[in-house]
Amino acid sequence: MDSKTDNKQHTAADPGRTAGRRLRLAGLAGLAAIIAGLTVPQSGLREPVQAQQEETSGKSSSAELITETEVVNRVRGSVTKSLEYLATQQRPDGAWDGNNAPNALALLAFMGAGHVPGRGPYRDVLEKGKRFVLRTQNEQGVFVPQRNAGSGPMYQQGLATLAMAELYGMDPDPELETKLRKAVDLLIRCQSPKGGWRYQPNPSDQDLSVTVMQIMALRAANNAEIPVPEATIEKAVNYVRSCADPKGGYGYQGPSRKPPTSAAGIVSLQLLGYYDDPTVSKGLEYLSTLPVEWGTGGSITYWYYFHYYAIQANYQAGGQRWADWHPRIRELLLEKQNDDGSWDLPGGSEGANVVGVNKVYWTSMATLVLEIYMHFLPAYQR
Amino acid sequence: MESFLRSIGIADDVVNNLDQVTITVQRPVVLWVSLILLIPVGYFIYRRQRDNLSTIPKKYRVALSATRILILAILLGVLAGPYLELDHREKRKPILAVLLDHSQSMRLPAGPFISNDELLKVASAAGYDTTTGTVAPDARKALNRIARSELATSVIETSKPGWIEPLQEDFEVRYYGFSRQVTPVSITTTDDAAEAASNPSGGNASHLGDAIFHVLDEAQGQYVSGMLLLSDGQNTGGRSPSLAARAAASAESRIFVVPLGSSQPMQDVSIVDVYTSGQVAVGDMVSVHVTLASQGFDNRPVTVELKEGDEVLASKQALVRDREHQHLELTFEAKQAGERLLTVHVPPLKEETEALQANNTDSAFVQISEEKLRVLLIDGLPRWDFRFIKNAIRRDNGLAGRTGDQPDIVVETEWRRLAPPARVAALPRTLEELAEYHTVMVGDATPELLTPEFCELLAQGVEEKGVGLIVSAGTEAMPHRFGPVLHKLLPVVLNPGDKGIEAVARNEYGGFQMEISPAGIIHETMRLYDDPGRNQKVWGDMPGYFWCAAVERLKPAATALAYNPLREGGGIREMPLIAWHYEGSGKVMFVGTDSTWMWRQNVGDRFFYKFWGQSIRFVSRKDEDESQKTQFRVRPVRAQPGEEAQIELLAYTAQGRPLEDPTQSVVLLSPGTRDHLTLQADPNEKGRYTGVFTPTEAGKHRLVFDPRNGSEPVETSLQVLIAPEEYRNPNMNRPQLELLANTTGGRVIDLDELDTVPDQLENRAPEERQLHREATLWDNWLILLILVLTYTLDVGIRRLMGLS
Repeated sequence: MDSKTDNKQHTAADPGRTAGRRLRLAGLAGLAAIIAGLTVPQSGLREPVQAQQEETSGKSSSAELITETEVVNRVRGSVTKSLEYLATQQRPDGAWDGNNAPNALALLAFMGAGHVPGRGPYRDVLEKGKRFVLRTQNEQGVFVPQRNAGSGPMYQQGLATLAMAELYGMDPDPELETKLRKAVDLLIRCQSPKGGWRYQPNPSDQDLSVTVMQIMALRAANNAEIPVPEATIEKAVNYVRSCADPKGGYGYQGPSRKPPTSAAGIVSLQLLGYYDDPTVSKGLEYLSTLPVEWGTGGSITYWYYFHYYAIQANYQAGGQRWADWHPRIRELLLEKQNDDGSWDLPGGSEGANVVGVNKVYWTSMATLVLEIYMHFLPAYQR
Repeated sequence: MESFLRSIGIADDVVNNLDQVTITVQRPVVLWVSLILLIPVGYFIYRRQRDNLSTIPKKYRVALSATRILILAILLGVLAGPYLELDHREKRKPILAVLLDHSQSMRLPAGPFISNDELLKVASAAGYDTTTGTVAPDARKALNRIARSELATSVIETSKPGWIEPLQEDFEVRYYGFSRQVTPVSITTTDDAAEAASNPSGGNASHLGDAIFHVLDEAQGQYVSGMLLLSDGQNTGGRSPSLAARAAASAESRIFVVPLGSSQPMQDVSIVDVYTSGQVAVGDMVSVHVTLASQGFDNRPVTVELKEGDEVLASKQALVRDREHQHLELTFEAKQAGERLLTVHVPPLKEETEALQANNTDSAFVQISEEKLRVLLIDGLPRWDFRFIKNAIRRDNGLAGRTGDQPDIVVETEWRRLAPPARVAALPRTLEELAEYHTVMVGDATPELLTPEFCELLAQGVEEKGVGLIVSAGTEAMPHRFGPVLHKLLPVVLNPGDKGIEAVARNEYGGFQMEISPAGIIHETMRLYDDPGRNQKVWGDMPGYFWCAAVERLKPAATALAYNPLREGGGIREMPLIAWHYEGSGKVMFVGTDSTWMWRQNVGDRFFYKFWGQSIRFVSRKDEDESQKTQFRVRPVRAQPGEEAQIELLAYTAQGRPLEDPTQSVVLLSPGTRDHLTLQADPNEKGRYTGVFTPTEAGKHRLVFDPRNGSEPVETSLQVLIAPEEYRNPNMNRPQLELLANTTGGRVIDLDELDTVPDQLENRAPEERQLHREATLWDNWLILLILVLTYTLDVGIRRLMGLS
């Protein structure tokens, strides 16, 4: 049975199994909730997910093979539009949302196009965004706005730490350094005995989705020469490996495979230098069987999350994997960008609790996917 | 008459307005007194000759008198200073520049023209009879074979009576042909233009950007209303076309482009890119990355071969697919140190036309080093440049640290957190320790880390021990917070206390655009491609950056490799951005921006680290025995016929002392010829000699220097290749042309719409200006010739007559 069929059975074709799947996907749904905005009530959290799963139509990619310069010019044009959109969505206090995940992703999207603090047309956007995130750090070291404090903040923490680590070095602000170090110390302290991280800033539990976010943040910090103990990395690697499915791919909490966690699992090992790990090559093989479509019939849940990691995984792998993957997702995103520079969920679920600030999340994610061609963000370097 | 006047150095303005020119003299008193005196003096000469030379025939005596009087008259005339004076009001009409692409790719067919409509349009524009609504079979045949440049000429020739000549009432129409250089062309007949197109000036490459800049520069303030560019849109070198288009837009000049050539794919397999890191160590596996493009073939097998000379080092099979780029990696082990010229070749498929077979081969140079260079990298904050450089130098097998296998790295943010004893030990403390490094790279560290004592040590290391130094500017401290010791080392003078220049503060919202200097184009640090034209193009296409150091000027004897063209006071100031010089025994390089990470766009480390890796090696200290050996190099390592190459010789005696002769002679062995070149001594550096030569023939050009002092002869070589650049992408590049048009507010003009150009030109009233020109009449070759001939006649007659 091919993986695509397998996925369909798990997602849409068998209602009886959907309940079980809900339990396993609870963590990822939590991510969607956190990233998509906590203004959406818990019961409504699944709606965007279902909207993705049920979307089967949509134009297929019309990728034409063009020269590199033309590709970059088109991508730059698209990214310029999306950044203009994101800049218009920033609130006067510097945030895009009361949740730091979209805030961090938006900051990363600007930096991914080469905009850094103190210079260029988006200097104020970056400064205000940074100030907001820094203001939200609590005594423990978690970057979480007060009204989000009750929720599991570690997704926000991973992304915000990543964004601050990328800002650090291009911004001499001493507060940034102090708070970044504090955040990194927290990540090191909160690693579970098994090597992973979970929603709460304590070392009690772990899942792959949260873990990958923290790994990327630690990698970025370490790249900025902030020390990260070897043991922390080794434990994290072991945990990611423990989620590997023997057939290829990675599961949410233990061996199984889903597209989003598989892509994330591959990237985390690659960024830690484990390019030749057997689970990575198997995971890439699994990834190559997945469709790159706007409407995927439910086989790709968390579409933007998946593609954010999938293009990184293929880029890090290089060679034919990269050559086969990037034109398809690039053309799809270029084709589906809205006139105002933003992106919708596959299927354009306007009015289905997916508008508003979530668009910042999707637009940032889509922008970061396209910015793979820029090679500017140090954390993502091969 | 006009040609004659030009030949004696009279300026064009004067020659073109002869009816308004007056002849006058600088010293009229001298003239009048001379004329008055010339009559009695002439008579005196005649009388004296008559009395003293009564024995010779009268006609010779008169001739001798005449020569003397004539010489005297000329000298008096010169003393009076005659000159031509022009005073008139000149009307300067707006310019329409017609730019005809004469590059190599313009010799490819303009067709095929598939539809009848397309053929009709082309036939009509090229002057064929289309009144019947069809194209005659002969014309059809001719058009499907016509070269792009021929079609361009025919179109202009046909347009002349229709709209170009009437347009000359209000506009000055200038014609230019361009390839690597730009030259005015005269289109009086189709044959003239065809001749110009077949003999492009300065080589075959297409320098679109240079052509646009040339038109703007030559206008010298005269309004250029429009440029009509007839081209296939290929650009294979020179300044960035987009930068040129922005310059044209600033001057309110519109570019109208006439695309020539078919967008239909031609059956072709081509190597569009060959890349190696350029520098490896013995024992490394050398990776050569090849990008293969193909069109018109589907799943055809080809073999890609990597060769050195005739030896095949590696090969790979590939299936070429229609309109697809494929990336292949060919590897071989570097076993011997030295420069290696590698060739990548794909045997042509039988459907490829002969012209397009040129793009089936390309070459690349690799420098293989014997020993690892010891490198120290210091920075203040972990800037993005630092993060990328740090990882790249750790991966570079040719580099090491003072004691470890990897380069030594100190970043101030972590250094501050060390205990005091560890802080002290972080940097070299003695000259001996410092001199163990071949290259020290200093980023935006503060004087807290780079103390005055360390700066003194660094200066000593560079000046006395030849340690290479790269200083990368930064916003925090480098170099504006440092004292004279560090500033003395730099190849540039900076505005004191100025923290740098931010682009947005200068209304440069797209960032600054770097421009590579002529020296930089062929310099080993800036060599991203071996072909100089392609190298210039890729540097010109780098993304804009938003900060640079405030450099005031280059120091004497320093070389600028790149500039930041700064708009200042209505003009452009070429502010040095990357520069180097010798400081004592060592080389110091200054990089005036902290945004070299932007060179990673689309290519990752490829250009970014090629620059840094080459720079580390370029400035590096030479080991003692090596530094006193004669070294000989030529730049670039690869050139096209007609491109100038620079020669550098560092010449030492067998005992290691630099030679001090004012010149050195070297032997140039070109294909089939042997020649001698003279190199001049560099007054700033003992033992250094430089020179240039321009190869005209393709092939290997060897340069040999024999010191004749007991040392072995040394040699270097230059590969001259007829570049395949022009045929890399043989189709018409419409997006490039559209970009030029859109940036300037012009548009793409199809062949059947050429007569709409006049309506789209802005017709400003001619500018009037007062023109005052003076042209001296005495200081030219003609006067000298008359004097010499007259005197020769005088001497000749005297000899003939047996006079002393």
